[in-house]
Formats: sequence, structure tokens, C-alpha cells
Amino acid sequence: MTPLLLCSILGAANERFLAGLAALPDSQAAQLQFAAAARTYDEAWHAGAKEPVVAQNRGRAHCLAGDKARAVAAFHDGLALAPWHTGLHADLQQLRVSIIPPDDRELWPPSSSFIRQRVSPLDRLLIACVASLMVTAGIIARICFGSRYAAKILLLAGGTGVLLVIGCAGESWREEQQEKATPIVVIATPDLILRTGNAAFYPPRRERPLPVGLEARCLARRGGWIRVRIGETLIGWLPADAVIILDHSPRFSSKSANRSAAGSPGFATTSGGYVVGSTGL
Amino acid sequence: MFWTGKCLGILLASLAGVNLQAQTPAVKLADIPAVDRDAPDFYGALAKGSDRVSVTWTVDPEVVPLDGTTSLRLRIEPVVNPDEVRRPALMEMQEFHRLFQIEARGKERPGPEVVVFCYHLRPRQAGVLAIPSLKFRYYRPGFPEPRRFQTTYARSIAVTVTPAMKAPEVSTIRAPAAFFQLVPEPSTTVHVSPWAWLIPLGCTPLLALLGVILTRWLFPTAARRDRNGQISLARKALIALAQAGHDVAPARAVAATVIEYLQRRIPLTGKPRTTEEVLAALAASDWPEHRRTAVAKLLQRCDAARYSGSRDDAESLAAFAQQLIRSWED
Repeated sequence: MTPLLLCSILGAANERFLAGLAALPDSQAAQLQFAAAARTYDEAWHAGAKEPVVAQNRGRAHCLAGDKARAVAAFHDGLALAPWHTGLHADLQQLRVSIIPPDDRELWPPSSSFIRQRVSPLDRLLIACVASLMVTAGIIARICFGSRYAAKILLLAGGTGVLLVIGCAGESWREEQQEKATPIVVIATPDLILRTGNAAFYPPRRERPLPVGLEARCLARRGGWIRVRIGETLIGWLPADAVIILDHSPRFSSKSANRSAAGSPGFATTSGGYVVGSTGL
Repeated sequence: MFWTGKCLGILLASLAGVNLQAQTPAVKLADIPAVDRDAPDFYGALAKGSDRVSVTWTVDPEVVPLDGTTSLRLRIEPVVNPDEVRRPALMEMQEFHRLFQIEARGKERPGPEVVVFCYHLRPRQAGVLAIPSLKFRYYRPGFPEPRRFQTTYARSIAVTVTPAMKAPEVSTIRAPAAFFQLVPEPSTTVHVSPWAWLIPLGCTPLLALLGVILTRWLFPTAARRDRNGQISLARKALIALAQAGHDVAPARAVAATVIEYLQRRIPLTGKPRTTEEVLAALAASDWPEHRRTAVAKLLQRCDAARYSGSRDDAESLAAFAQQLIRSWED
């Protein structure tokens, strides 16, 4: 799709969002506008307009249209691209507050590491440039001017910068691999009960149903059921057709996605990297 | 005749309930076979001896609008293990789910042998709705083995559901306040690969080489200046050695001058004063072995002249030191 066409789709989505804001006194009309905006943002996203700001507006449009599950999914789509984006983190946090009851602390997802949330590739590039220049200056000072003290200081500072960059990159990579191993799952159906086994006759793991939009981590899949971890410790089974599975790993965004999805009954893969059940969420 | 006898037996047993309870050993839920514990409609309730367990519904309020909720309570008493009794999952029972939207709430313990489970019901239709009776099995240890599992029922009660109190309002959009605005797109977007930091680090050796070449080209006297610094240092040391003969303690002056020269020339770690300290510091540095040996020899001769009255005079020591420094700087 050409950039011009993408811009026009995004422009249309923004216009519908603004129309929804203008129609706020009439909530139903506003929700219709927000739903239309959300659909257009989805279209733009899947067509290639993958920017953190687009993900942010997309998530907001879904939330205002009343679909909190898709809003959470949209924010996570953006965070998969830009884990350091503070706006996406702030929006997701606010949405979580509105989804998870205050007395249900065990449902809160564990926070990811500070480095991955704050240090962007641009920051790492800048630190690496400064460190490289310091090391170069240290070498020049030692070889050309015989200044041992200045060379020592510069090489020490530059070396620290290099180690810092390597450490940040390593930590980000490690967490990314960990997240790919356990994809995010978003509850999309109301009154969903977490069970101790992969069938409806197993007893509930907890009596209260799970709120729509709650995030979990997919640990395993069997038949039409998935084993999930909610929060730090709560582990149980959910029907796969009642959740949205956000799989951002390459195996689901390539041709192999269709093969792997076809291999497991009850799954289908959308172009956005979502794996959803047969209900066609 | 058989049935009459059996009924009589039961009657007598119930009349002598106290004695029977006294004879019945305390039974725990874990003592019951697992296959019986997981039986349908058994929620783990253990009766007290041969006492009956009663199960009753209470609903408050009994009249509820269609868009309202009412509290339903299931009272189970007397049981010896109120903490172990499991909550009946009404939300999974079709007859309940058809009439009400059910949410499990807390659990109450109004007495030592009583347990109350609370639910919130939201009716799905208007009219007089009957809360269905609930089949409830419990274990009665005071009875003979084949008849210990007894069944009782929570009797059905009625709830009157009136039409909705008011017409449904136009729903307001519930979302965080920050969501009610469009995030503007940034004027410039910088796309950086997560591995872009490897480029400057990988280019560092090349950059350093270019830097050295460029610096040598731009400042051709810089290296010479460094060399000049060393020559100046050596010149000062040679002058000081020449004047050592006029000192009160010439051997000490020669040693001090050489140590100061080495301190600035190498430089040495710490501030060595004695011969041993200087030799140790030299050993830690990259100063060549033959030079270290020469320094050791000079300092030992100085020490000998200072403390044991050897035949070395000021001139010979200064000459030896000057010779060493000249050989190092040539």
C-alpha cells in the first residue's frame, strides 16, 4: 500500500475519532463513531501504519467504542513495536485500573523491567556513539600526546558506556525472548471462569469470573483450551475461543502461522498476528 | 415384619441420639473415600453424629426490579466442618442460570456450626420467579455405613421481579479521562534499529586509527613535545646530580634525585622512599629487567655509602647515576 493511501486512511480514522468526540453528548452516536474509527485504525495498522501513536489512538478508539479487550490488544501491539513508549504504557496502565477490580490484586500483571520500558534504541545508539568517541579520544591522547592520565579517564568512561550499552541490549533481548515464549492473552468474553483443567467439567480455579480485557500469559495449548498464568501465580485453563492471543513472534506473522494454526483445532490466525477462536473475534 | 423392625431400630437409634453421638468416633472429611468426596451434590458437609443437616435459602429483598439485584443466602447447619464446606456453583446450574445472572459473593460464619454462602442475583425476566430447590448431600457419621450419605433439599422460594424502575438511560461512555483526546502524530519520527548501537562500537578501531593519523598530520610536533618533556626531565635530573656533591649528605641526595626522576619518568605506583620500596614499585611497572638491576645496584651503593661508610664518594655515585640516565635517554 502506498504511503499516500496509508495517510488518507489514517486521516479518515482521525476524522472519525474527532467526530466521536464532538458527538459525546449523545453517547450512542459517539460510540458508533468511535467504533468506525477503531475499524479504520485496524485497517491502517494491518496495512502497515505501525507507529506507536497509531497504536495509542487505535487502543483509545476501541476503548471508547466499548471494546476493552481489543483496546488492550492494540496497546500491546504498539508495545511490541516500541516497548519504551511512555504514552502506551500510561494508557495501558489507566485501562488496567478500569478493568481490574481494586480488591483483586492477584490479577495484576507483573511489571516488565525498567531497562526495556525506558531505554530506546535511539538512547542506546547515542550512548554507543559517545562511548566510541571517548575510547577514540583516549587512544589518541595516549598515542599522540603521551597523556596517560587523560587516556585512562577517557578509556574508563568509554568502556563503561560500552558495557552499559551491551548490558541494556542483552537485557532487552532476554526479555523479548521470554515474552515470545509466553504470548499475551486478553480475555474477550464476559463471565469467563478460570478452570483447573482443559474442559468445562473441571472445577473453577477461582469463583469470581474474569473481567473482560484482563491480560494473561499463554503457557500451553491443548485442544481448544489454553493454559494461562494470570498475575504472578494464578494458573488455570481457559477456552481458546474466549480469548485473544497476541502472538508477535515471527512464526505467527509469516506463512508458517497458517500451518501452525491449522495444526491446532479451534485456532485461526488473523493478519494482525492475533490468534483467536472459531467465534471470529 | 422386617420393615417394622428396621423402622423401630431407627426410631430407637434417634431416641438414643446422644448416646449414639457419644459412641461415634470423630470423622474428618479426609477419612471419606475420595470417590465419595467427589460425588455430585456432595459439598463436603459432615453432620454432627446422627443430627440432620438443614439447608435453607433466604433472599433479601424478595421484591426486586428487573434492573436491580437481590442477595441470596444459602444457610447450612449444623455441620462439624463449616470451613471445609464448598460453595455450590449456582452459576453453572442451568436451572439457575436460565433465570438469573449470578455472582458469587462472600462466605459468612454466624455460628460455630453454621456456614452461609452469599450470592448476588440479577433477574433475567420479570414476574414471580422461583429460586429452584437445591439438592444437598451430606455425610452423617452416626448412621450405619451404607446409609451415611443423606440427601436434603433447600426448598424453593419465590422472588417477585417487577419491571425496570426507570427507563434505561442513555449509557455514558466509561473510559479513562485521558482517552477522550486524539494523540497528535509527532512532526518527525526517527526509526532506529534495536541493533544500531553495534555500528559505532564496531567502527571504534577504524575511528581511532583515523584519529591518530589525523592528529599526527594536524599536530606534527605533539609527539616531539612528549619526547621533549622526557629530555627536560632528564636534564633537570643530571643538573641535580652534578650539584649533589655540594650537599651535606651527597649519597642521600643522589638516591633522592634518581628516585624522583624515576617517579616522574615511569611513573611509580605509590610514593616509594626506601630502596626496597623503589625496587618493588619498579617490579610492578613495565620497566625493563636490566634497567631495574642497574637501579638496584645504584641505590645499594648509595645505601652502603650512607650507612656502612663504603669507599664510594659523591663524585663516583653521581657519575654512575648520570651514566645510567644518559644511557636510558639515548
